[in-house]
Amino acid sequence: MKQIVSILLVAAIGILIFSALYFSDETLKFNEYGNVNLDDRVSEKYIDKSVNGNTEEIIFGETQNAESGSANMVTSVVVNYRSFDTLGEVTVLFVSALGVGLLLNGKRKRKNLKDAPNFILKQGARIIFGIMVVFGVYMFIHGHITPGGGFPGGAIIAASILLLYLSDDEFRVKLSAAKAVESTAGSLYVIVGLLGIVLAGYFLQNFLPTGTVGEVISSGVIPIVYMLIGLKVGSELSSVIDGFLTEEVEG
Amino acid sequence: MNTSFIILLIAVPLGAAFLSVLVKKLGKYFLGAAIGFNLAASGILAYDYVSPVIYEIGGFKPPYGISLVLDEYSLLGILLLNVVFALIAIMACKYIKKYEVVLSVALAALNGVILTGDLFNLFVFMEISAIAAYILTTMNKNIKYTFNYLVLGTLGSGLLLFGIAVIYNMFGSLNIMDIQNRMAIISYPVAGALVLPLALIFTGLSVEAKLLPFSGWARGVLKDSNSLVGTLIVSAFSAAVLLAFGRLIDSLFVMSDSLLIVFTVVTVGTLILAEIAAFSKKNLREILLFSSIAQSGLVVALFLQGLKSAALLVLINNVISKMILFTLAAKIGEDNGTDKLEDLKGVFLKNKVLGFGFTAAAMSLIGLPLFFGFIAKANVLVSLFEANNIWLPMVILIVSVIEGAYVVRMLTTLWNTGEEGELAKAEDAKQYKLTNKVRLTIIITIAAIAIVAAGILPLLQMNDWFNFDILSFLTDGLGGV
Amino acid sequence: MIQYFSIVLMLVGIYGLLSQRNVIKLIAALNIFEIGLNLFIVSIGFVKDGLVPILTSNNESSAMLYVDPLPHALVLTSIVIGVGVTALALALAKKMHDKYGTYDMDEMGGK
Repeated sequence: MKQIVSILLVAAIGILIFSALYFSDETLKFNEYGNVNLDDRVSEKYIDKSVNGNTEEIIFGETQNAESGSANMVTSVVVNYRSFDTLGEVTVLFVSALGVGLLLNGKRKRKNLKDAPNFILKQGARIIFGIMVVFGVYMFIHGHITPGGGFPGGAIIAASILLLYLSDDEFRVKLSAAKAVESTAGSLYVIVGLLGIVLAGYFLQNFLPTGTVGEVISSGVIPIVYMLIGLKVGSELSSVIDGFLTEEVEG
Repeated sequence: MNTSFIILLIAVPLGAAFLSVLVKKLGKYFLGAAIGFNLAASGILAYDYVSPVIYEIGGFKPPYGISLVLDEYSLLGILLLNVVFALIAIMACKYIKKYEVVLSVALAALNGVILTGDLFNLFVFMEISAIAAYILTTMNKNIKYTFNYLVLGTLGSGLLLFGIAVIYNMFGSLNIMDIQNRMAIISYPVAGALVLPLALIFTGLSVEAKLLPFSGWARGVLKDSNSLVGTLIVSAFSAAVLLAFGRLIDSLFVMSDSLLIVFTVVTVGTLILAEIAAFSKKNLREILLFSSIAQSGLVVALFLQGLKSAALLVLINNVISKMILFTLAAKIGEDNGTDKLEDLKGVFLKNKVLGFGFTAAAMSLIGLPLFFGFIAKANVLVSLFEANNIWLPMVILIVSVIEGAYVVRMLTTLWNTGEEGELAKAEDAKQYKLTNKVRLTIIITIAAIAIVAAGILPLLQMNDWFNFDILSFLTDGLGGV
Repeated sequence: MIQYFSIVLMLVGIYGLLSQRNVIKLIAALNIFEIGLNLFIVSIGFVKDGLVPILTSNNESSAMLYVDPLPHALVLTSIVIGVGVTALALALAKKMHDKYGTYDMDEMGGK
């Protein structure tokens, strides 16, 4: 009975959404998939990096001192144009990791794994762990020129920690160290924002030279911010993993 | 005026939150410093306020960067929010332990919800404040209801984001003012095309604003909450969400007639049904939470009618009086193990000062003369009549009768020992104890005096008190001081 | 096509939320809903024949036709928020299982 009611309700919502989006006869229309003119959208200026009045074309490897020096346009939106959202999203992860910590608190020990890991698994996992951490670091250092950035980089680092958890039933991260990294990185992000007020005039404004588009050392504060985000996300997700793979000890 | 204070209202509590994880022992002081800073900063902003300011984060001009908007509306919002937040934190400081960081984050996010001028940024801040609220409600030890709240809240914010995405697809911008301008230059009617995104945004915000039928979470979460969590949710959180709701309705909601009718039915239905539910309840906190749902419905209904000033007056009255009422209700509930009305006969005989505070807040809530609620209610009725609306004032008056009935019943029970007389009185006097009594008494007395003063002064000072515009009062009245 | 699919995914998620009473299934339904929503947001940024919005030595000029980078940035934020909420929900689920010994909301009773 409940299923039938749910299906009917969902079908009604679906018909409503589809008819309003794709079969409406209004003059103002929802732009269908792929059928988009970027000139009508604010993002056109993100691509041309022309929010502050630049009129020249941006050329990879040539343009210098653009308002946002990142070759990856998504990164320039994430860390320059809409950096405040990113600060917010870092906060979301921060507060939910904190919530997990508050819920799964107390003195804890590792849960027993179903199959006790053998020596080869342990050592093999450690080798892969090193490679994964290096890849994660690569990911957030190159966030402004390749796909990637702080969030995927941090997630990869956390995944390498998860690998150690699964391959070794004794292993635990030092929660106090994870907390320290998390908190330092978060405070530094806010401080970068405040430095923007002091040195450039507005919160989170870029105060470093942006260099040449496409080089590793370029785009001002972006690599710094992404490094902080990477460390923060990595340590936060690691402490969340620890919460789920441990159990409370009595007393 | 130093415009940096606008962003610091959000940045300082956030920074305090990050730092207090590092130095756990100092968490209390960081939270205190953040609350104090926000009080001072909002005071300075109000004192220096001349005309609307748009703060461009990152130095990118709107609509390209994210901007914060400080106008009369958001100024009123941050003043109300920061004061209420500070008072609640002081009154309920024994519960704060371990939750300092969450409270700092919540403070930053609620300020962000009120100040932001960007749709997606609004979603982010709503989500942060919601997550902070989920974590705070785990204090109730009733995780099942928190989980309910989390599922409904996440679904709601998902629908909100869906609506924002559709709006972005149609107008190519996320800045609220920019979208408004883009709508204004379109020569043909846009209301028909906006039905879906507006319905999605309305539904999404309704969950947090506790409108029926999306307020299923509220009863479970609030009915045994303590004086920190419950009071924060019914006053600070609901104020921020309703203010954001009002801003969106004011700027983006170009509604077709049928959509306006649907929204009005939802909000007025919330008002009526929740007041009836409050009337039928026997527990203090349940009565108050349903009354809070009803008031949210009334505020949104007034925003939908375009009566911003009247809606704000109702909102302020509701936030301040609910703060007093819910704090005391939660306190009584904790100290006596129950908040059932019949077990609490004559509870205030022992604590007359707190009883008078509670009574003043309750009188203001139903809008009796000489209390602030009267000014609010008179404004609502007068502005509705001026807008040639007859049926909504009728509904409000009928609902006021129900409201008056249960408030009077509540007050008489709490003040009167009833038929059993002396025996019950002695028992209650023994049972009823209050920790933190001094702080609580001082704050509640001040707040109650403020309610009464705000109810009497306009009657003496202003000729047109039934028709006064809170927003221009804020600039002319306070700015001229 | 992918846009229709994403909306259908969202509807599947809503159906799950309406019909299921198991905590883990509810979290899964919430995630399906969020994934559908994220796909939808990415899809509104797609431009026919547009390039990946990254300048490289092959696509070196900003004058070429790129897809809209803004929805990608929004989705990044929304994914991270989803991760945070899911982590919190799972922690709550674990706590509930410790307390009631079941994942079924109906068996937990009114307490």
